[in-house]
Amino acid sequence: MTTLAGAREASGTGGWRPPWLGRLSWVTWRQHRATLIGLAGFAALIAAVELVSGIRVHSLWDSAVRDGCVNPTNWAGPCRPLLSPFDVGWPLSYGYDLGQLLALLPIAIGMFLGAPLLAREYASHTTRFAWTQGAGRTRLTVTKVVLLGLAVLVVAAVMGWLGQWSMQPIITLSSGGFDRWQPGLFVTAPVTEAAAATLAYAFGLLAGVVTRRVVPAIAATAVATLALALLTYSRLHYWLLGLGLRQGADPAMGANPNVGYSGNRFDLHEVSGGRWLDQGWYAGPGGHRLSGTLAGKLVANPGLQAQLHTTFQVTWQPAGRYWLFQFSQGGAEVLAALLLGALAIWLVRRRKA
Amino acid sequence: MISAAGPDQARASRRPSWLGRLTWVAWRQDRAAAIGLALGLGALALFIYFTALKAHGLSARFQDHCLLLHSPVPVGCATLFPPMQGARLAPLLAPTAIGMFLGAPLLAREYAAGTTRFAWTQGSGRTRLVVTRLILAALATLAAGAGLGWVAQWSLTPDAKDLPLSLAVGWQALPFNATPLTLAGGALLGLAVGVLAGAAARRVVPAMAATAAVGIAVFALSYRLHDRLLGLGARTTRALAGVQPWGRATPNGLISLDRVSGSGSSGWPGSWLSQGWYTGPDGHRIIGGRVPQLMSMSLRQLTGRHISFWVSYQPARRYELLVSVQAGLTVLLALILGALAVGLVRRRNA
Repeated sequence: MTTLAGAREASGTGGWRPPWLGRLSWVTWRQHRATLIGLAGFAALIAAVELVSGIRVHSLWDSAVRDGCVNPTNWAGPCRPLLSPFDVGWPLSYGYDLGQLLALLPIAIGMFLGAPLLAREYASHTTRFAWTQGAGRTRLTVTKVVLLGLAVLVVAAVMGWLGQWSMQPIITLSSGGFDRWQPGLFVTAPVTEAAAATLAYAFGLLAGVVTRRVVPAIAATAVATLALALLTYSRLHYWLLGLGLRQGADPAMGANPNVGYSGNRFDLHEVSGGRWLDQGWYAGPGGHRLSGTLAGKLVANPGLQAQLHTTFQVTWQPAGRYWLFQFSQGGAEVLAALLLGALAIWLVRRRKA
Repeated sequence: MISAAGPDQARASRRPSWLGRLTWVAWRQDRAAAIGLALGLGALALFIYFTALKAHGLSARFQDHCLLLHSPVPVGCATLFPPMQGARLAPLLAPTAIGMFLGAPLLAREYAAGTTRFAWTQGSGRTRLVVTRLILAALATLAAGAGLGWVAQWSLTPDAKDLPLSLAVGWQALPFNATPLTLAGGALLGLAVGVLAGAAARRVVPAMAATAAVGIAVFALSYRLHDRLLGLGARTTRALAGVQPWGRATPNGLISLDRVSGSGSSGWPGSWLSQGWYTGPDGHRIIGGRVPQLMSMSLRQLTGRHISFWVSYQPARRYELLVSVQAGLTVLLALILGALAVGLVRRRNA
């Protein structure tokens, strides 16, 4: 296939024939169809889980709306059995499982699509033939990388969108257990899921070009993407949402800050009224932070707050900034993916086949 | 190396035995994977170790600010006890990684590269060569799994007696799968799945993908079957005091408790409370919509209505027995899969 593509391109005689892009797309499909079919099967499995669970969840939600159990939420009488699944039932397990499934998708894409993409050609030495055809190594490689990258972007975005759709009623009724700001849902939203998958794909690509061997490339990609996912989930997410925080008093939260604290501050990391609450602390009449010991006494005895004229200060992100942060994280990841991809292409051009 | 192993064995008594030479061959062939995996698992063990050290430093603050001041324990306090992270990671990552990066390429790479045609036609024979490599890989895997499990258990152990019930986790699915015995069994199963996938697919990447899929599925399945295992031979008793029927009620009236009984809350400290249910004055189990209402009542209210709360539990001393049962079943399954892989190797052309 590659030989034909190159020869036709070089001869310039086939005006009625498809352009080089069409032929190289066909070459790409022929070379990677097994991987693409396998990954499509994995994505279809996730999509089926999301679709079936989403329909069940929305059906429960519709029943609750019909019986007047939501807006505002009413847990009494006949509403209790309708709403209790959202409190202790299978939708919560689904929510946790979905987060893990969607987190696996970028890792699988990086390991099984990105890493072997060029590493397998290097390892089997087919580059010596394929890259000396008329189409040229750069055009062939860039076409493959871009086409597959676009497919990754679209598929991951669809998976993320389906996940968000299926989680909407759970987010509304789960009493704060799930929220779009929480890392499990934030990093698997359409924008961030697509960006994370693209970044994992680009990393796999670069690892394959650098190592030129399949298994080491897959291993390097597994370690890097897993580490990045864990780091994003446990650290970078909170760092990102800590940028440009607003501050104000929140007496209701001060009465019962049901979280652990570190030193003289509370790591709230929860959602209240659509806002993302980051940190909280007790402030004295002069505005200074109270010590951890004193804070402990105030938590144990909320009545002391009025006597000591303290306030509970919180920092938060307004609900309206959600998409700003989504596109910030997604944009940064896509930019990193482009840089890694460009580096891989540069290495391909620079090295011998 | 391989061609020298067969003839040399027959005539040179001063040289090492065939086992020694095949061990050397196995090491030469798989040293990169073995070293890479050792580094990866070592890094995981270090991660668990250092997070546990961090938790030890947090212990006093954890107890002062999370246990004494609040009831129930604040959600955020769990983040101050990071060894859970290690115990969560080890059972999933180690067996799957061993299966993917050691098991799957073990035979698949030789098939894909065509080197089986040379290696398996030497004097030592394909069966002896393959079995030797598999046994050596299995022994290394068992040692690595047990070592990692020991670190994971150590990370959870020191202050377990001081932890709130929700964090006293030894019986729960993930830490239960991270004991030295169960993790060694799981790692061996991962290796066997990888070897079989490699022998069946004869290509590296599909074998690795299949191993990853099966490894994750087995992990999820073991998580689901954990309750069944802990229900084997469970004892039943009437709860006298202190057992809050906290959990999920099912339509048939059974409530999943899934928690450890504490010394102050019942007569079976350290036991695993599996399920609970209410019985009416006639001794029959109460089912349906009444159960959630009963769950919010105190023991005194229940006694006044002649309603009893029963629990099924596993005594604390059975913990090691159940760990051994799970590990034994996993090792048995791994041996069957390994035998199947060797059978495939013997039956097929090189």
